[in-house]
Amino acid sequence: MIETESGVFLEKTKKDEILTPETKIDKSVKPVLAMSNEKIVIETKTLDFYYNADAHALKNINIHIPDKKVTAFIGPSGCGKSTLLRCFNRMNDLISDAFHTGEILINGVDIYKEGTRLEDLRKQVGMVFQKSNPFPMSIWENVAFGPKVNGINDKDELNEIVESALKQGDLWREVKDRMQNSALDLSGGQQQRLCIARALANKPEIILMDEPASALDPISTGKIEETIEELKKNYTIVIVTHNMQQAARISDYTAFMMLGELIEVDLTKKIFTNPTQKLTEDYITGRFG
Amino acid sequence: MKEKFIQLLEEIKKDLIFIANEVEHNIRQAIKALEKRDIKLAEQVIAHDENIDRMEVQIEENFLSLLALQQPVAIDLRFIVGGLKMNNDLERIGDHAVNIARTVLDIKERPLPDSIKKIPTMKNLACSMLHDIVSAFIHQDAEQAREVCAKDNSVDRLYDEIVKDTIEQVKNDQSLLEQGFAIARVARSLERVGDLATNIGEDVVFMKDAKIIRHRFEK
Repeated sequence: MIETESGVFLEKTKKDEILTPETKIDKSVKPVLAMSNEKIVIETKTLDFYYNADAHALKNINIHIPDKKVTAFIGPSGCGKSTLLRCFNRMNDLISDAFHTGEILINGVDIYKEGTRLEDLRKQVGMVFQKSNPFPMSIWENVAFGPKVNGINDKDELNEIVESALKQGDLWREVKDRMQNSALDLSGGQQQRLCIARALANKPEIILMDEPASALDPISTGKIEETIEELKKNYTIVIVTHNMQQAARISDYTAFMMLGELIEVDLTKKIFTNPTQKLTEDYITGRFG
Repeated sequence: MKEKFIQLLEEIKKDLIFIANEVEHNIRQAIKALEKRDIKLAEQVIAHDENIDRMEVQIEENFLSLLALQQPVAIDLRFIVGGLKMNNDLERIGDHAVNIARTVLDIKERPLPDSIKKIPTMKNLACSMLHDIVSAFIHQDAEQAREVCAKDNSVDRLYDEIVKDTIEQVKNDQSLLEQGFAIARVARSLERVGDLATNIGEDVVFMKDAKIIRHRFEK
């Protein structure tokens, strides 16, 4: 086992224990979606990612993620789903020794292309984490923080951005009369929606969500899911979740990963009623994992 | 937890096999009562249907619990959806055994048209469909299920023959009119047994292959 920031990474030998002859991956079925009529926003080509030379976390990932849809990544702990998510906005660059091969394209442009500004990339690709992480400042300051960093100083414009982002994050009605209160006084669910609003304030095109509701109660989870449903009208959403019912409820497409490999991607309805790969079926029906 | 779920699924599967056996037995007993004009046996068939009805309700409740508590997906979800329909179809086959038994009570000792001679053949065909479809269910064998479905045409043909023969015989001897209707009713019940066995076959294909083959939508 190798501990990484995103969880426990399974060593290669473990694979043979999990993959029985019946659950071997049918390589004739390509996991890449054929979505000819949809605009592709994120694309990876033969992507391999290593936490270090001995920890091969992602193996030959080829995936297309369509515009203004919710794509959910599911799979057992250590399968690489969070690692892949973090590839999309180069969050993994923060890990020393980590490296990748292959390509990650956003709107057809390689995000590792020379001259790519990380600030621009992370503005384009917002992220919401498992644990809400509001800044220790007021609600207003939290949401206005990104736009201010990006050079917007006009108070009226900032007010407009904050209001719009909080409305999209479905938090405006609850906080509009206490914008100067500390964000830390909000409930867990409200803090997470604040973090979504904070990401939206930068006007991203893509929102990455890593287990955004795993620490929340069912009512707060429901609100986050409703928010995601609304957001997909304007944003491309990629979500990592351990909650398969949540993936089934909110996503249009589901990708199943295991041991660093992308096993199957398809319409969520197909994955949860009749997956192509036996391995996917065994995982979603709880027969292993 | 998952092991418990799989165990519960296995228990429901056994319950479905049990109710299917009871239903097949009741159909055979109902035809036997008709052949032997055995009023007592016909009454037993009618009485036993209450047990079948109770079993059907119990199985449905068990399925609903699994749906509510385990949130099944994929093959498990298809098994539960298909199993619920199968349970309902089996109960309806049980009702046809009752229809046949009631006919036995209606006609008592009165003479019957010769067309009754084909009823045992039709019963054997319909019951063998039911028997084979339960086997396909036990083994989750979609191929066998399709083969059983294909046999329904033979049951339908036999039904047409019996109705036609009965009409001819009633035309020649109008004193057989009421009994002729009774034989047509029995043949109709057996024809429905074939249809319902076919429905179950379609459910088995759905459980196994996730394909909906009813209404001949499948290409």
